[in-house]
Amino acid sequence: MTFIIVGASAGLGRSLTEKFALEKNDLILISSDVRDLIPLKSDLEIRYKIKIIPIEMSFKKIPLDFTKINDSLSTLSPLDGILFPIGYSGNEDVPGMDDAITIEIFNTNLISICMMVNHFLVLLKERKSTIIGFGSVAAIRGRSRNATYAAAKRGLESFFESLRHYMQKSNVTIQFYVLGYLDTNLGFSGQDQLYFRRADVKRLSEIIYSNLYKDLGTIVYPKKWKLVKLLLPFVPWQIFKKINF
Amino acid sequence: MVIAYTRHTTFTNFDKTVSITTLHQRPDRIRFLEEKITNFQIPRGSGLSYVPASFGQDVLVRELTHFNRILEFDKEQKTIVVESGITLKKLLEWSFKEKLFLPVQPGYPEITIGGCIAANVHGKNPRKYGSFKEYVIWIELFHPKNGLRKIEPNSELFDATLGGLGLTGIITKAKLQLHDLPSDRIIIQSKKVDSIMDSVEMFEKHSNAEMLSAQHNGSTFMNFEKGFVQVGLFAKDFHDNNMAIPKKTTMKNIQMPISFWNKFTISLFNSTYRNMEASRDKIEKNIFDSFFPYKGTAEWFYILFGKKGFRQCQILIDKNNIRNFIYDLTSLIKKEKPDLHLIGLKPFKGNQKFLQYCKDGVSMTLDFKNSFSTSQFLPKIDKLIMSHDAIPYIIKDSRLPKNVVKKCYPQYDEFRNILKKNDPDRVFKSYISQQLGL
Repeated sequence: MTFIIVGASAGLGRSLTEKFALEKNDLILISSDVRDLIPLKSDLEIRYKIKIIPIEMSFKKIPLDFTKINDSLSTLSPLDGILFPIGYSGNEDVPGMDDAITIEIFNTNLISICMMVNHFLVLLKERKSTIIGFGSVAAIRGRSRNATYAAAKRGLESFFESLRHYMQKSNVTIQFYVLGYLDTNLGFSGQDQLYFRRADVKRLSEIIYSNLYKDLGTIVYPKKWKLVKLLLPFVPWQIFKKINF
Repeated sequence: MVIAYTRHTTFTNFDKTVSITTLHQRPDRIRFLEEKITNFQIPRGSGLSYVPASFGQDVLVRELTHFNRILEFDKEQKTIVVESGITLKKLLEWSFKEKLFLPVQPGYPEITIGGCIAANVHGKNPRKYGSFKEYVIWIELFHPKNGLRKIEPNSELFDATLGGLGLTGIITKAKLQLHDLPSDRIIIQSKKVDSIMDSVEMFEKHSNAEMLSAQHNGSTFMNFEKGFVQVGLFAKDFHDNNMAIPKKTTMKNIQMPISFWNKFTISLFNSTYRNMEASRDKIEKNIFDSFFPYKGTAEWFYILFGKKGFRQCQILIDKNNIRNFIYDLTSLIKKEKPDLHLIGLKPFKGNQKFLQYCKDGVSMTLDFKNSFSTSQFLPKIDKLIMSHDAIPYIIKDSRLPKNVVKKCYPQYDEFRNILKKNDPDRVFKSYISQQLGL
């Protein structure tokens, strides 16, 4: 089987890559810096005897050029799914920031993903396959920090809801994981602000793999964030504005 | 300068005698690793060193555990190129399937290859296999000022990095020589001995064994010096092709409020353990359990020292001085009756350079309870080491004073000069390097 993993070089993307390789799938890995993918390719090919094609591609700038992916797909078995464990934000992401970064954040977290889904939809519809997107609890309710990132991720959740609705009669499963704090480098420095323990990405990768073709729609992980997702929108403004998170 | 993705972490060394909170980075992408950070810094693998070698006050700790991949494998030459953060466990999980192994391994599976290089570790029979440096074909070293450099044997930087405590820069990759794995099992035979010298003599008869070590009771309460020699040989074939590597091999996070060990309990334990081991004629163990005894009884042995921890010193005595050294040491122990619990022995060989712990002789490990009487006794051991031209293993003894290391390692000053030449601003430092004036 063949999967594309976008944002495979670190964090959840790398963990998913290792899980999919362990299960003997061939992979096309996409990252903005191919230097991070080459060691991953070597390691997984040596240990699991699978085929991995690393592709350097930045989602910050559109339009995207899918030529390399298309060429790579022609050398592998038919495509079985695409996963988008990709995200981009920064401390500068507050209202009023530079236009160029605003565009890059929107492109990486929303527009490029929509474009790639649109491009490969026809191919994926041909067989039983899956498309998995990843959102964030930061998008549950807008706050000062990660303003553009949260907006993009909320947009992405909506896009995946639409996609699921549109693809309901096809063999393509659409899933969207809303992620709480994870034990990745992004969460590494945020220790002092965490109200919830960071979840293990290896465990999450196993869950994602075991649910691969299930029609689960939107999944909140870790589960305890479900309550936050449910209640936070109803917290009165007078209280919400005082919460610093 | 602002360094991405850092936090403050409290680090403690394995013997639990030093705790420091300092800035911690765990890079997961090459661009973070190769950042030109000019802060004082030190690389860290799994952080399992007895001494505070991978952290220090106001020193940025750069943990390399995400750089843990196998990069190249040459089946014919039996060589691999790996990133330095790969653990022995991960490497062996793969290499056992290829029926290959690293002949030199320290006692704990979560130790990284970078750690093995920085401490120039030894394995289960250093007389036969030497130390880790003999299996390193080249290393890649990163320094914020010098960038990436490939360092090969017979260069001073190579010799200074092997056993160099991570002070020459960040070891990013290494090419290693593997050996054919003859079997998935090791047959271990234990033989009772009455004195340390008996073990040394027995080593000569079994110098070609895969595993060769001795363990003696260190307590003077009863049965002092009594012990056993363990000789391990590979079985002849692959029994069931099941290498039985356990999933969970991380250290148990248990802290006893007080030490279970005292002169009586340790004597009783050592005597019982000796009788148990020697009563079994031969035992067959899978290779993973044989290579990594720290995942069994030995791990509990250290947990039972309690929250105050323990002190270990490891001494390499020249083959020509061993008899005199043992006589003087046992006389001193009998006279002073320290909180010494266990004495371990291994035969050694090697060509000693810079801070490397290797030469032809016998290595002796002394495990003490961390107590006031131990702190009073250890300087007497230091004097003994210096007077017998022995060398202390820096990576095992967190209280080693500078003057002892300076006296015992003939190339101490040359090592410092290489550091200065390679790193004029001396950005790489740790608690132990500062303690030793390196």
